Amino acid sequence: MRYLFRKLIELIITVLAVSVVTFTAFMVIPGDSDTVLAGTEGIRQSVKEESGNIIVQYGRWIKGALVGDFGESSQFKMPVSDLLGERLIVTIHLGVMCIILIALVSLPFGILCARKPGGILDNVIMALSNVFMATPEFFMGMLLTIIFGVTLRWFIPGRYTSYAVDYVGFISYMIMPALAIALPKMAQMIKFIRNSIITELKKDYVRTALSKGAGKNRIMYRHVLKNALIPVITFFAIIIAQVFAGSIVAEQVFSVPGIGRLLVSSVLNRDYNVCSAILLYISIVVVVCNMTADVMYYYLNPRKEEKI
Amino acid sequence: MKRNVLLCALIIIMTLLCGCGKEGTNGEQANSITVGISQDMDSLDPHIAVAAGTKEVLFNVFEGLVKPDTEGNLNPAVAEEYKISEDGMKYTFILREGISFHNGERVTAADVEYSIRRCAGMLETKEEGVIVEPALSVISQINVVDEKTIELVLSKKDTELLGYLTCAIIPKDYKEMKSNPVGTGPFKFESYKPLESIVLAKNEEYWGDKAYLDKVTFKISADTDALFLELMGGNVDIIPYLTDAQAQSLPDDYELKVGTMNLVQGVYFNCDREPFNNEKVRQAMCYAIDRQNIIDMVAGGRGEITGSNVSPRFAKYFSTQARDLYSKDVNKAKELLKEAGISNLSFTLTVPSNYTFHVDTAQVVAGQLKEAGITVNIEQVDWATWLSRVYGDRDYQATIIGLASDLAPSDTVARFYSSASNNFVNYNSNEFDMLFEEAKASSDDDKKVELYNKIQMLMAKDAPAAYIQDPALLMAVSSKLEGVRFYPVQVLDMSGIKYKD
Repeated sequence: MRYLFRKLIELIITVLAVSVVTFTAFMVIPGDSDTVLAGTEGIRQSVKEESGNIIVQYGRWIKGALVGDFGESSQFKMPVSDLLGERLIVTIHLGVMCIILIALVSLPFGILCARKPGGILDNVIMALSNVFMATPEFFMGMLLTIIFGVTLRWFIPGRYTSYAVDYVGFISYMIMPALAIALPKMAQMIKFIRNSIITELKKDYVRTALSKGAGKNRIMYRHVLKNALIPVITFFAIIIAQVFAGSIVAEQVFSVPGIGRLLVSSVLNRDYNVCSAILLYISIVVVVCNMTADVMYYYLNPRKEEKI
Repeated sequence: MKRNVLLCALIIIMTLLCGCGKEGTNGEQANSITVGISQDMDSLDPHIAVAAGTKEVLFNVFEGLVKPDTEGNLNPAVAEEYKISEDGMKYTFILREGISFHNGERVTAADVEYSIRRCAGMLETKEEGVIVEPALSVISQINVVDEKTIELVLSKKDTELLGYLTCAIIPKDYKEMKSNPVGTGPFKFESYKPLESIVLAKNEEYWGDKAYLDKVTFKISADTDALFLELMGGNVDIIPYLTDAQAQSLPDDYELKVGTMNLVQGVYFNCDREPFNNEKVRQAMCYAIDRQNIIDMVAGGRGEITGSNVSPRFAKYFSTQARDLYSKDVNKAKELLKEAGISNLSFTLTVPSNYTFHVDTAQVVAGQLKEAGITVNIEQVDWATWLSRVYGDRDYQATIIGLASDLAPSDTVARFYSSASNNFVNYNSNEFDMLFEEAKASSDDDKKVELYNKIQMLMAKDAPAAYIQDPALLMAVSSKLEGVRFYPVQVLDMSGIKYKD
């Protein structure tokens, strides 16, 4: 319990630190929203005034953030919270779909590889994994679009339907972007699971079980997997954080109106209110994921207790 | 075994799901099209929107007292006719009979008065974000004569005012402009979702030739690459701005339409900074640059050479003499540099990284200048940084950019007026200022043409910029469609587009 409490304190401090960095970062970047929108065209009349020093401004911002009020988007002229709501749902769908895909694919493949390391199947999967791991998301996205969208015509690039209009259509459109993010992560995950199992299989208790006459499957699923998956959990938490970061790229390539695209567009247009809200959200996701992993790691494996 | 079955099942389900998405394609509304754009709306209020991409779309929804046609003539729109008094100091507009806004309300002289006051910054309470058009400041008085008649009284003579009266007429004190805009144009606003789309529907009550299409969806994509993939996949019918490379790999069921961008691209110098505060250095640059070669290299040979900030689209005002003033002559360039007492010239060329076209141009320019012994360091900055540092603070040596202008010829060169707030090249010439004032006030057309010719020659000779070209506008249009119209201003007119029989 004390451990959990300590972790929680850590989490709050981290998020606070991130919020300070996010807030001050924008003070340094040149340009502001009005000049970007006006371009080389006009001069906007402004009756807006910024009051208070930087600390007061930060205080006001964090106070609003706590109740979900991030001010108004200068680019879209609407409250940031309205803007975020719908897009958050889209990105969360994308993230969850990715995670499901990664879990569904990497576990069976990892086990398959670990069963006969060096076998044909293992070699093929490992080779493919290396290729996928080295492929950046945007390239993977374009590749998928060209293969499945332009050549095979399985889906229509850019024909996004809102989840509110047609949920099935929405989910089916999201499969490709989810795949684009998931494939490189799957590759990493398969490798990690494979190696973790192989290491575990070399342990003494496996030999003991074998000599007792336990079946190979029984050893794998009853004993080895349980132990081998513990480090995988930590790794998975990192992957989850990466998935949400990866969605920035995939949303751009597939024109998905999610948080990622909003972030890119708000950075380019110097829409600070939107930017800082999204960055805060992303950092919370990352920090919470990491903490959950730490906590799970701790409780799943009591042996670690003495080390902490 | 079980696992394999499960995997197979998963793959099949995924395939099926992907297949599902496809069914929707043929069931779409017959008389509608999708236009792919890569710039989001900055506001739906026509007096707040400044982004060129937004104005292009809103052109279909809003109209001014007058409206440009494809030839650049200003025709009466919300006004049915107008009179200019003998001395040029008073404009009288009579509103069109029976014209109404999309919400069904009649357009009255009070609405017009409100709209012009708002555009000119003459309303009593200033509204956040409204763009004030400085050219409208010559209006000293707006008189509502009756329901249908309005009078504009000027403080000084300005024969080019009409070009600015294209500013949108909106209902007086209408509060929902940002979320549900209403105008008088051939299309009315239907819906807008940030990052997704803006949808326009046909205005059945339109006073002029009604639109052919029932519905136009402007689909907002993240960037032009994503947009082009969508075109390859058949999701969009029209993409307005293609790169040269994209134009070459257009699928068979699309046609390439070529217009002009109506802007002038050039290498602009900071006339207050070393080494470009020396006229000779600037002229040397003009001699060292081969404009046709740039057009061939970056635009596939499409684009029209210019010799000043006036684009060739201003037909009679455009000076061919200014265009032909410089031709590539490396020796001459070297000579001029020698005269200026400069050897081993090296400078930084700042370009906005989001405009691939300008970045590519910078590479070619750097190559050409190398022949004349000039070293160019290309510095790429993002758009916001460019605007604040180069355009706002004028903290740069040279830059490449394209400058657009309204229909009035004065608008093309207004930024070179020595005290203009957007004179980012720091050009300062008394002769220019005088000619410019004179040209703006001149009501004799021949005289005006002559004055603008003089201005262009002066701008070419003084060379605050090495003007390059008015780039070509490459538009992909589905072969099923016809009726695309290009204007001398940057708009996407949807009202003439229809499906071929």
